[in-house]
Amino acid sequence: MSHPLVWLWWRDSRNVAASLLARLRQPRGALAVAGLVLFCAAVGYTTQTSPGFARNVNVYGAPSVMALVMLGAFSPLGLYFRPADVDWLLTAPLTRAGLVVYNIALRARTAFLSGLFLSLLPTWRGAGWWQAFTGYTLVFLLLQISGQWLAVVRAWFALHLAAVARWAVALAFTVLPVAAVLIELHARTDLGFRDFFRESLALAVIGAPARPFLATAAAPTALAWLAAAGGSLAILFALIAHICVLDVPYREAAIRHSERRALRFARMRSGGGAFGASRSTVRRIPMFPYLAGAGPVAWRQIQELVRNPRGVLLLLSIIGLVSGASILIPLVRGGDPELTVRMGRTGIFLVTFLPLLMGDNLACDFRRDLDRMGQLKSWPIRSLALATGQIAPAAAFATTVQVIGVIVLTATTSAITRGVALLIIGLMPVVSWVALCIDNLLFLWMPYRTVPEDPGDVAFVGRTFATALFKFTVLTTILGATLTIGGAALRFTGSPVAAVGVPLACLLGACVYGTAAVASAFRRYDIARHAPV
Amino acid sequence: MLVVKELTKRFEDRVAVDALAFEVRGGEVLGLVGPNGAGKTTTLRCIAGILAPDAGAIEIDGVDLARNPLAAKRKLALVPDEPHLFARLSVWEHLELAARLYDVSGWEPLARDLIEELELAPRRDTLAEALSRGMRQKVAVASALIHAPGLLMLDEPLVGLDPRGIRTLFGTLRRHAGAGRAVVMSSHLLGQIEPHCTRFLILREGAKLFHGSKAEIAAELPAMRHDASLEEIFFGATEAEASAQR
Repeated sequence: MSHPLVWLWWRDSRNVAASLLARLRQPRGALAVAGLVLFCAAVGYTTQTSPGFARNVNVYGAPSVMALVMLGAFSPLGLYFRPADVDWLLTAPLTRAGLVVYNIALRARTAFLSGLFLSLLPTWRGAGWWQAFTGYTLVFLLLQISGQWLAVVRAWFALHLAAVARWAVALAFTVLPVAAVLIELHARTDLGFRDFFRESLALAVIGAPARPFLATAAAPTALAWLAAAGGSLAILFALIAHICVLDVPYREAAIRHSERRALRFARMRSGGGAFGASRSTVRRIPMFPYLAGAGPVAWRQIQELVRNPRGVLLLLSIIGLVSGASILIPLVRGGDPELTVRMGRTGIFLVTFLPLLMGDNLACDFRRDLDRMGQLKSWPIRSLALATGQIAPAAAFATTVQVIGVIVLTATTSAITRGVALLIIGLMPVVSWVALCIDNLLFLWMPYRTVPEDPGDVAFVGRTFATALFKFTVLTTILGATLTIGGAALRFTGSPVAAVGVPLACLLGACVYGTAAVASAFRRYDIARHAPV
Repeated sequence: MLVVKELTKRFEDRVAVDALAFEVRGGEVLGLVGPNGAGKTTTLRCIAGILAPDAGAIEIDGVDLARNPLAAKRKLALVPDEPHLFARLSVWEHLELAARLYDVSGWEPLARDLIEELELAPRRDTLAEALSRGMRQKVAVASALIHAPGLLMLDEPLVGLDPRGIRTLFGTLRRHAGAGRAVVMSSHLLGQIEPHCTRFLILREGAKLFHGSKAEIAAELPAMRHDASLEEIFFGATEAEASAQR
């Protein structure tokens, strides 16, 4: 890498670190760190006797990492340079290899932080902290560099192969591995799920490139660590070298991506979603009743969601994928009832939690209106009504997705009884509402954009991690408390009505309190001080 | 200083720049004007080496951009229409970065002069994320000048600048051109750039309509007064062409 790029990388990283430290010295930053430390301590304490991920990394790790690598082939961000990089570096007398390595080094910062974070969690540690830290950092580097490599290869194919040949390659890349696994899954019904992962030939072949990376994380001796880390670095260097040699007009791709991203930001600033502009003005829904102002506010959010449903469709397709896998895998395995129930329960857990954890994809609440907070404040509507109108559409949508998922999985897998399913369906609206209150509270306390400035945006990745963990912890605590209260009510009264009614009343109380807290946070939100760049 | 020969750039099936040919000599300030979508930004990006032309050649001070891109890029600078800065570098650090990118030694006195001249001195250590649009524009201009490029290109440089900033920028550009260097500037603010440009290149749909001084272009247009303003010439040129096409 030529000297100015080393200087730029170092100065940029140093200033990012200084900026993060400065934020941590503020009360909100200190609160975020305290929350993160508490969460890590809680995870460490509660799972200290569990074998955790470390024991499973050799079994499930490699195929999972390669699945993520394959998903990276569909990301358009591989060749992405930040707008400032385009303006400053692409016009400067710098070599292609220098720019490629700089681009990768920029993203390596997030790999380093993600690796550090995972290695701090005791359950993710195998032989020791150093092995875990280096191993996971290398895994994240593999994901980032392979994404760039796949994007460059894809662009090279576009230049040199006919459309039919490109389709053939894409099909071979995606369909063949999946078909091989499904065929073997069907043939080896004698093996349990874990044993299948351990003994499958298809998974062994698919996961082979990722093995040295995970072996680094779990290396029992210094020699084994050296060999695995050396193998991993060799793979990474080969990918980087190939990116540098392939003759692809990456500059134009970089400009296109930068412009698309700028448009995306502009769309989000004007109230659009992160998933493309809406072209339709046809799907008009009727105006809601006024309801102290909450009605029109909710109508606006839903109308925009209806006209630009790509974020919704993405979430629905993920839920569909989870539900489909939960139903299909046991069928392929010969209808094993125990596996059906286990997969069904996992599916139900995921379809109830995913809509809550993936709220940024919907963001039809205060998060969508980051650049219109001044306008919202100017409306003659009480903050409580405004908060209600903002939260209600997202809560309604999350609940709809959850209810559909639970009904489908209960009907097809019989994983839970009808009574439990009804209990879950009854509790979901209020749980979703509470989860969205948490989302909006976090957002109003520490406002952020729901898309990163660039894939190497360390602060964005860190915040996403911390927010997801915090939300997961609070939700788990609330659900745990709800079940405990329900159990206690049943024990004291013996009435199933009380067992449902008492926790439901508690959750409704949490909804009211949460909405009031969001309204208060909105009142305190200062557009002059809190709006992020 | 700049020779553009039959430059063509296509985006899929759309021709953004169509066999464009022109020259800019040292000391000249060329105003690049045209309606939206005329190909001004694409032309500047091709000359800056960001976009690869589909046909044609570009020479900067005798160096062929396609054959020797690094040597050619050392002789030019582009200030883009939307000045993207590195959010977490200060004003001074941007100048330092530019100096390092173009391998300029002893850059500090010039950098101090530039930030004084462009009224950036009070913001010298401010991070870019805290700067206004106009301030960012000034940082981009100062950084482009740090290696005294033989060819300075500015894409819509007046957007976001206050009247005082505009006057300062034109003063800086005049001095730059006065030192025998070439300046190419695209803008929609015809009245603002008119007194400062020595020649104009009017584009429409990627092709050259007219190239020359104001008087030369006016002479080519039927029924145009010899002392017509740039705005009158622009509308005369673009609408005459549109009528001819109809």
